[in-house]
Amino acid sequence: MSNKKKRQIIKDVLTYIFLTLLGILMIYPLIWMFFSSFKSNNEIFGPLRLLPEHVIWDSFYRGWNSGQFTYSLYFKNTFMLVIPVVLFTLISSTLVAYGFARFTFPMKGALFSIMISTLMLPNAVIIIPRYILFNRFGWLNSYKPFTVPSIFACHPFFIFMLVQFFRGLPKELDESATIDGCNSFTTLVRIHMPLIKPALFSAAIFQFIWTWNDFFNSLIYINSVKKYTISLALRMSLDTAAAANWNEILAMSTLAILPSVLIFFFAQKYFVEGIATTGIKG
Amino acid sequence: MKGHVNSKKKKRQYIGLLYILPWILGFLIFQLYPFISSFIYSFTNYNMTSNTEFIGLKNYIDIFTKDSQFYNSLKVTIFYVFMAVPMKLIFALIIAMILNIKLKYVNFYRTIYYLPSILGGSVAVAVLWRFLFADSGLVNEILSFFGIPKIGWLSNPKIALFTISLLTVWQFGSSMVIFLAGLKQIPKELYEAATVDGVSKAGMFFTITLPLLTPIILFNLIMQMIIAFQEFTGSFVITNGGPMKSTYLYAMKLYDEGFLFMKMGYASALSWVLFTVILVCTALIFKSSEYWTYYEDGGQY
Amino acid sequence: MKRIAKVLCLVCIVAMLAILAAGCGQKTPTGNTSSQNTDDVTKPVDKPESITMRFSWWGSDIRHKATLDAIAAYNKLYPHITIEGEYGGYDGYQQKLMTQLAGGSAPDLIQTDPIWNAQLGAQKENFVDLAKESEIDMTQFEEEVIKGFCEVNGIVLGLPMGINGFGVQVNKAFMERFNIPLDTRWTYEKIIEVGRKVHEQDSECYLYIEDLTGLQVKFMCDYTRSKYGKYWINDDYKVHITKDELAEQFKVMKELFDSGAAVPLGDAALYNNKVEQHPKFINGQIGMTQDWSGTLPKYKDVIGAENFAVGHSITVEGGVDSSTTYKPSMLLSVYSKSKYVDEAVKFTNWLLNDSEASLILNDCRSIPASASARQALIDNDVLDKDIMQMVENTLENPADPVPLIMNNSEIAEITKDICQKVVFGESTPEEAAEELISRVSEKLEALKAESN
Repeated sequence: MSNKKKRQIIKDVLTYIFLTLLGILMIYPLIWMFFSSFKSNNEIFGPLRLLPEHVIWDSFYRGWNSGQFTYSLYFKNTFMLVIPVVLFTLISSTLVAYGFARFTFPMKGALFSIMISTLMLPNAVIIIPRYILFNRFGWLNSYKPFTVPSIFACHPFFIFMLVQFFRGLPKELDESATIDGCNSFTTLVRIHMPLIKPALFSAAIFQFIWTWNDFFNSLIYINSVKKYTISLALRMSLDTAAAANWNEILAMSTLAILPSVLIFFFAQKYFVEGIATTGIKG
Repeated sequence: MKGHVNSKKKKRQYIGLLYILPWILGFLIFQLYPFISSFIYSFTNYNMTSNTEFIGLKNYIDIFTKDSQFYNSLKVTIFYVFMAVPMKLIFALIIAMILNIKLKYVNFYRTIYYLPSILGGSVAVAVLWRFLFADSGLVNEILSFFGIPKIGWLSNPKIALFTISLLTVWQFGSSMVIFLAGLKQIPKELYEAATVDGVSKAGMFFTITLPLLTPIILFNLIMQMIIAFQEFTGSFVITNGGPMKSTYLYAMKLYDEGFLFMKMGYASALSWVLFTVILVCTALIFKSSEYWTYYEDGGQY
Repeated sequence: MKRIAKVLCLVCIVAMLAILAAGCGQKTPTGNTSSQNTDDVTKPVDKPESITMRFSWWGSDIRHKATLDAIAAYNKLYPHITIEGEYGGYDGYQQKLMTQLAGGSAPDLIQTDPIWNAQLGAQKENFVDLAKESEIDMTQFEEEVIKGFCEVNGIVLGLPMGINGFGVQVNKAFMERFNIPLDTRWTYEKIIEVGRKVHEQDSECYLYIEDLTGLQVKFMCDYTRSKYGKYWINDDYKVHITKDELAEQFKVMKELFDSGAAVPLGDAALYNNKVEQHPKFINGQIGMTQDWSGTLPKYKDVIGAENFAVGHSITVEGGVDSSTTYKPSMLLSVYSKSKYVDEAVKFTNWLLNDSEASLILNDCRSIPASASARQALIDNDVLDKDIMQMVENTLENPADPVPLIMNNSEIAEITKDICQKVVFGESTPEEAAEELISRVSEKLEALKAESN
């Protein structure tokens, strides 16, 4: 018996060692990125030490302030793009998900199937006509190609996710709300919204991070440096850095992922919930 | 209104339509219209400057007979998909299994493993990859510390695609979380019964865990595959398609034709070829899934 | 009561949708023109005369800073004119520009590379004919330069910003370390010979670095000219090189890398158009590269002025032509669909000819092409000696202009593609020669058909 216990303990220890090593492997690149932003070029490529021998303190300051515009502008731009997209996505997806989850209307089945199938529609196949369309609208070099589609609930993933949550709410709620004098809209706002708050939160976080990281769309729609998002600014820094001050580039990369990482740590449980709900039921 | 239960219900039905109206409009304008028009563009020489003419199947014929980069990029993309997606899913599944054992601090590990996933296709991570896998980068320095000769992670045409795939595998966290949630749903009684029957751990994995997870594996497989077929940022920022076009993914080819050479018609045809490839792969997986997917409710998917 | 609420709710939703719809509907399709400046139209402007123009260029941080400073100085002179810079690296600049031109959203002021003249000239309606603008002092520019490099399809597409010399940019310390004389007149054969020894001596070191774009723009073009006194393709849409000649050329190219003289291409290609960022270059483990004098400041910055030297361009052993490629560093063009063509033209003249502008820009685009701007630099004795040396070397024996067709983006792609196959050993030089000739001939025919 004690032998068995011993073996169990050894097994546990081995598991922990494995998990820890893997964990280090997973986040070491990020840690390395952070510390390397204080290193000189010679130290970035070369010695294995994680901590810099000669600390360069001003890489963040210099990286931030290079060029006509500083990273303050790029961060501001990114927020100006991301926040409306997140808000509009939340509002429109909630309305649509509510419509799908709570009402029976003609063609509902067909429409729902279409919505689900667009979940799998490769973006590549519609990107060119979209570009041409936005060009005709005169939306190039603005954030409209991002915000307007989100007003029209063009992110089926979130509709789907919220539908799953709405379905989990008992129908009796609606009925009693109706008796209390609520119409369908007030029912949504007063009764449902508070209940699906976690789901809304998950949706907001996902949309925030996805839009924040998006590169391809920014690349084709945004031209002027004044409107650059972080992704574009980073690529520009990578392309044109004088004397290749990599510590500055790494410093800015570190800052670029910081909002996502912070949100992740403060709101982890919503990530897991959001993914798990759609994942299982999909 | 007469307060009649039935008529009230009917009234509600149309309000439902009103709620989904934004989506209907959005779908028509931003999805269906581009979808159809890209099909139409694919039969034209549309390039935004000169006059547009219908040229029949010429784009498609050129793609299959003249465009040598087409076959290369398709090959590279298929290699990438078949390398990155299974690696990612298998890895995610193994780690999910380990984390599913009753351990302390599971949440802590889950958090750590999940972290890279949120960085997705961000440029910052691509920049980081360039540094880590450069010829004199961190990875090679570590290897040479152990006396292993330097590897051309990004400069050797035979390896570069693998290095890009590693970036995808690194972000296995979201698949892992989905698997983990699926594992939690498997009734404990099944394992208990199996233990009584004297089934080995490996046996349980193959007779209980894996079959019950198959619907989730299927879902993951399809979604990850669709995403992988369209991967862009990694190869664009890290290697720019090189060396020797060995990481020239289909999305980059599409970007070059559409936005560098402005051959929008041609690029639309390319995008439809990709769409067909994805469709066929999805259909094959679905078809084959009838043989390997297990549904508790008898297939009411 | 309930009914009213319901109606209200309906109205709310409809109103919301209407607002949303209006938000995106206010800009009805305007066709291909003037889609860009919508922002300025919608913004209520306090001073009606204040205008904002966009100016795009590529370069390194040094050039960005100088250009931005010049823009700021112009803004001081004319406070109502704001100029926004759209700048980045060379990689991807052309594709972005082509996209913008096609979409009707190009910047008002555009820096272009003369090697794109064929493609830009094909859409000359997008550019202002600067020779016809009275605001521009054309007398400051040499006529041959304008005729040879700026005039396409009957219009002056852009004005030269600088005179580009061409040659090797050398790390002196490296050369001293390996006992290589600084005044070596390099040929590709010599680079292979010396470079092989260098690499054998220290496997971490390479004599030379060239990226993929360099192989196409520099090696492929210069080698044929230097050896046979001709360009391998010409603007008559024909290939002017035999299979055997081409195969031999490919052999040398392959040897350049196989011998260890040049940094492995796969590694160098990661730093395409920015080889100065290569870690080995920064660590002084690379001897030299070959580039335009307009790019000199960035190399000098990395190597350090005390270790930096320039030399003549690379030729071919036993070749018939020892001339050096010569071109204006870049052109400045004005977008014809700009709302402020007149202001843009005025700025162009100021930036290129004015002595104040010249002193700010200095040599960030090599030596100014404008006589007055050049004079200002000479008077103030601020010209970089190395750049002057390089331009001088080049002007000793400048080559005929490179045929425009050679740098057509599709031809360039094919060339690069096949160069890679040779260097990585996927094709033998003979196979590659055959493939290049057949693919380029086919593409040339298609381009010829398009141009007619």
